[in-house]
Amino acid sequence: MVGRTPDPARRAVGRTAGCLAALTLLIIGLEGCAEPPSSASSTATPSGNQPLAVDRLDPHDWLSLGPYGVGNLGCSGDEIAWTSSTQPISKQNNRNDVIKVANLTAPDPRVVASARHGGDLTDALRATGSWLVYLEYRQNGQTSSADFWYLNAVNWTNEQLIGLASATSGPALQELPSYDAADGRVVWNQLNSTGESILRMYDLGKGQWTTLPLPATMYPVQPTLSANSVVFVDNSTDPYRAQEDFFSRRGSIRRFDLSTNKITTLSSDPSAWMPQARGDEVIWTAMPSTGPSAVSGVQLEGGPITAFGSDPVAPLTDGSIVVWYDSSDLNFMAFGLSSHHLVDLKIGNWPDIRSVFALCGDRVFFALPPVLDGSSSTIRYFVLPAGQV
Amino acid sequence: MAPSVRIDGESLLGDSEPSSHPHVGGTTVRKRAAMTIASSFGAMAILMGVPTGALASESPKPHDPLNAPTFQQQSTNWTSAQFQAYNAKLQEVQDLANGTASLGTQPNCIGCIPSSYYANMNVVYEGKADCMCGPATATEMFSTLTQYYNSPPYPYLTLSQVEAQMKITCSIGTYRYQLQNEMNNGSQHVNTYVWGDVANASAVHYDTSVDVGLGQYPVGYDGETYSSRNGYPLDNYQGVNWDHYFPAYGYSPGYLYVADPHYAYDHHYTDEAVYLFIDNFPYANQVLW
Repeated sequence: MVGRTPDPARRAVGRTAGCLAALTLLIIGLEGCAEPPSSASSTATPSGNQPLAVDRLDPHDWLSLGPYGVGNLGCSGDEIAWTSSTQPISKQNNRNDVIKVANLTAPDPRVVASARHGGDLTDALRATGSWLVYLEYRQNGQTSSADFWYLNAVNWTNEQLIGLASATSGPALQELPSYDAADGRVVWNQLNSTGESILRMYDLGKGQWTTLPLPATMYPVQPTLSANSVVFVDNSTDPYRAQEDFFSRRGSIRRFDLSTNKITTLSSDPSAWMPQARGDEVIWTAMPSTGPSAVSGVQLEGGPITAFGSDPVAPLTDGSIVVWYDSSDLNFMAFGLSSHHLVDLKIGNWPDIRSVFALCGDRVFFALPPVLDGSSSTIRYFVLPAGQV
Repeated sequence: MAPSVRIDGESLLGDSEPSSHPHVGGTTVRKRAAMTIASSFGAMAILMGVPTGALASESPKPHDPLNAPTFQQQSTNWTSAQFQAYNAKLQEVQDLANGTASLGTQPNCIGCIPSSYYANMNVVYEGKADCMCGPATATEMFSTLTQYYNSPPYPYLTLSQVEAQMKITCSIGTYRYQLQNEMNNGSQHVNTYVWGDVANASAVHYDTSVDVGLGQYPVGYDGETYSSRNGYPLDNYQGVNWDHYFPAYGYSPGYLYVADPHYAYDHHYTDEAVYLFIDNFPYANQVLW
């Protein structure tokens, strides 16, 4: 039944390479065979040379939401924030149109922000002090651009709202911004009027916007903040960048020092994606073109790069620990940056803990999707095992 | 629990399950063919031992001529040759269930569907300058059919050629009917593509394994990266709610291998993740196979 292959030479080369042909600039050949491709399986490989420890932890119910989804979670201090919908999950077209906040010790949820333009509030929640940064957007049809987007900051103590940036027309609609908030600042990337990617920053204390003075040769995306540093992915180093859209932009890890305007390279590997800087640590997901993804990290001051584990989803750090969901293991994983211990966290009895989650001090708050949680949502937390990691 | 299929108002395997394949009406031949696939689906789901999948939507999801066309809407303009190719595939499925199949992709698996198989596919980026994933998905699927069947004939169709053929309007995106029409546009003659209803993860895996494992026909998935009910089922689409298409070129027990035009390299998801991605879309759950 196998038909004629118009390009047998190419196919043969691909098979020799182990069922996956080499990357070309535009086209990758995935070669037919009965053996799994190289990414078919993966094993967590902590560089600390420690055997994988398993820790069974009890989840604690924090807040039951009933038949309403949780789009994302965030936290700052004792306040937990989440995006949700005013419509129950049974409504096929429901969307995340509200953001709620509640105190850790006395959870009495209140709405602190709503979708004001008919868009979706599904994107990340970033918090610093009493400020919550969020994005409202609407996808343009089934394309990779948006009809509009609005990046806002809301103060949950008095509901003061600051419009940080927005786009309703022009090149900026081609890419949704990626953003972070820490230490009283917000940073994000956006396309300017000529379609170039720039990094913008807002100081919540001073009320000032600035554009970071980066070389025009760079294509900065996915910025993150720690103290006086903005760390970002420089997509200009990615050989596949011309074909990428904003979902998949990868690149080298650069650090911009806000005190000196000096730029240093923390990782020249062009496969870094979605970094997070906290304390003295920078972590990211390394997404090579073939093979499994990995969670990697480096000191903010530079140094050797450490791989903590594989198949990470949304790794988070507070500068002392890294937590992620392992999409192969179906559990949370934790890696202690001082101890170099990797721990497989078995939470409750769920066979798959796939959740939105937030690292809040020594607790990880998480919400399973209703499809895995009895058709309703409960925000739960577990306490990280201090002795283990 | 074996999934069941309701055809022309007649339940084959049970009364309470939703349809997992296109409704087929009209000629006796087509009805028999559809019954064939229904019964073999049940058998295969049991044999393969794959998970039964997640709960379907809590309320019935609609069909729609643009977003989730029925079989009748999809087959209105088919040629007799296209009906013939479609029925031939269903016959193969029946032969498999009956143990009388003589076709297969592997020398050691004549008359069966291999438990794992990875077909050739050229991965094509959707690209910054392009506006949507539908044409990129079609271009990728055509590349597989060209490699194995020279249909469409070599050289490979390019993304810009496919976009032109599909008469894409960037401000709208790709409707399901457009992708199906493009795959059946007359330049490929080996597989008549249909958006077939799927009721669970097992059905997605089964449709994929039948097409890829038996015929080296790639399949297409259309879904959404988030819903309140299912969350973010795809590991590389966390925190974003996006409509999207991508094709599958392979499978192994519990997994589906896709060539995502956004990420443009090989990736695999669990059957469950792909089903939930499809189920996130507000219209009827379907696979282009």
